[in-house]
Amino acid sequence: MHEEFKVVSPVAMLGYGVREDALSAVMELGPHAIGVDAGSTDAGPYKLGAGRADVSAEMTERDIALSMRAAREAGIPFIIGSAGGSGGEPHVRWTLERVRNVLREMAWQPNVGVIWADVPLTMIGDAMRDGRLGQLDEADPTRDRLLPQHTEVAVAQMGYEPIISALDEGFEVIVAGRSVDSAIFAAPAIRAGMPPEQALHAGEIIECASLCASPGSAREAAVATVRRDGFRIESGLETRACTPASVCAHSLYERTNPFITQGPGYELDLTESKFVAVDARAVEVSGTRIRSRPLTVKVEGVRRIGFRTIVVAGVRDPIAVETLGLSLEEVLQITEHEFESQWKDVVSVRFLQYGKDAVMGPREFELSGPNSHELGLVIDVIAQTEELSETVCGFLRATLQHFMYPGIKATGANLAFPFSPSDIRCGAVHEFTVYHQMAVDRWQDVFRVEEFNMRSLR
Amino acid sequence: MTTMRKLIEDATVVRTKNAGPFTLTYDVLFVSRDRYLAWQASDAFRTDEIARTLHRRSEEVEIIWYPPANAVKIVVPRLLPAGSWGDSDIFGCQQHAPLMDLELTS
Repeated sequence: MHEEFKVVSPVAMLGYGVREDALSAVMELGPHAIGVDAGSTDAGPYKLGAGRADVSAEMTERDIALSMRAAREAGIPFIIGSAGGSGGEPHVRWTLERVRNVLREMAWQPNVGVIWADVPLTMIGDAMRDGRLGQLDEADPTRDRLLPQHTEVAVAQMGYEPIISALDEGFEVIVAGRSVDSAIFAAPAIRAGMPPEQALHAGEIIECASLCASPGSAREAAVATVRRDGFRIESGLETRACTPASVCAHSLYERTNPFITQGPGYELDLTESKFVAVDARAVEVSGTRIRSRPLTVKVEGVRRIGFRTIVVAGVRDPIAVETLGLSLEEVLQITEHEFESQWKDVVSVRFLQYGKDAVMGPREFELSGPNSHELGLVIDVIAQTEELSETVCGFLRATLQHFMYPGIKATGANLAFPFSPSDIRCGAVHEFTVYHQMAVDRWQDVFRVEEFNMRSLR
Repeated sequence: MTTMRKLIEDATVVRTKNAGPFTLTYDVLFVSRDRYLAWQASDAFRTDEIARTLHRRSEEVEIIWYPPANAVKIVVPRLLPAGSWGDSDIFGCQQHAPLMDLELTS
């Protein structure tokens, strides 16, 4: 029976580049498990839709090698959650390939467990029909755009239960699909008898590794020591301090509410949580509470809406800068006329003028600021097919390049291109179709734990 | 005598970031409990004032004071879901500038 349970978070995101010295330092403390988060939806729908990660295979293998070697030396489990950026089937397989490559180098053959988190499309349809698919925030107008019935690929966020089940099976290395961040770290501690509220709150703080320290670092390990009545947070190296202020500040980060967190089947309440400095570099947290809630899982799904081609260009001529807005309107009209019969297949055309409200758009408040002497222009075209997006973008670019705007003196051409070729294909574009809570009877309805045979990989 | 202080002078952190792909959160960490209390008591953080500054409707704005970190969080729905077509700041990390210029008169 554990009196306390230490869990390590080596890096904020698998593939960001684990700092080896910081990981070694926390391994000295004798941890009982290593977890690592590998995914997020904050960067939008692309990763899930394309079935790709947004970190390199090489950096991911390097981070897996450092973390998995440390886990093996210590004889403790190694858990990857939200594998491959989105935790869908291709992301999990991609991660298993990275694990396989590292295991070959290590000449180690551990029991590898996998937890699938894919949601079949029929399940979404059934849940809609049965009224089990609820909006996360009914009041949010941006969510009216969500169309669950058009979902092409979907995953659900697992809580700690499937990961505990995988640990019960005796897997030494676990690759989990889409996961609640804190569950990756909380699962082994809860399994060892620690209260879920302590383990989950600790997991929330260390999921971004030492970003909870001051100064923060996404690449340096943090460790949580979970006990029955609270937990301690510390960072690996002397140069980082976990202080009440730094740890509290992290409770705000990327969250809508610093006091309440919703998870599958529970609600974590931090209203009475106390953060106390143990010494200059460690913080004790206690007082966190938990309430049980009906079991729901968050479902994330996307569909492809087309293909993108962009052009990046600079405009420096003062008369061209002055008239650019009008020129763009006219060039768009000319293009729309030219492609009239195909325009229904053009999903979106956008001009971003950097130097003129490109970042904040209609929410820009510096309305009377000085005009920029140059503008950065991005032409962004999305169309149903890759060919059409390239054709329309190319036509827009060529037309603008030689557009004779009123008062023109510079009859050479209008656009300074930094790249050759000027037109850049960006591939498929996706959008979220479902981002809802789905009520389920038991976690086994969605998540599947199984042993993974490494030889089944190509 | 009245003095005017800008938020940026009283804050160690002023930032925005996504909280999931549909929500944008503004975090301000004040330099001290004293400055936190002064701003909390001011009109600058009235919901309607914040809504005006951020070009939002008041109903869209939620303001949460967080004493453990001497911090305040403002939560608004994103204009567009993160990374959908038309989005201009996928991580929502460059939307905080209007807050820096908030003024406190005392």
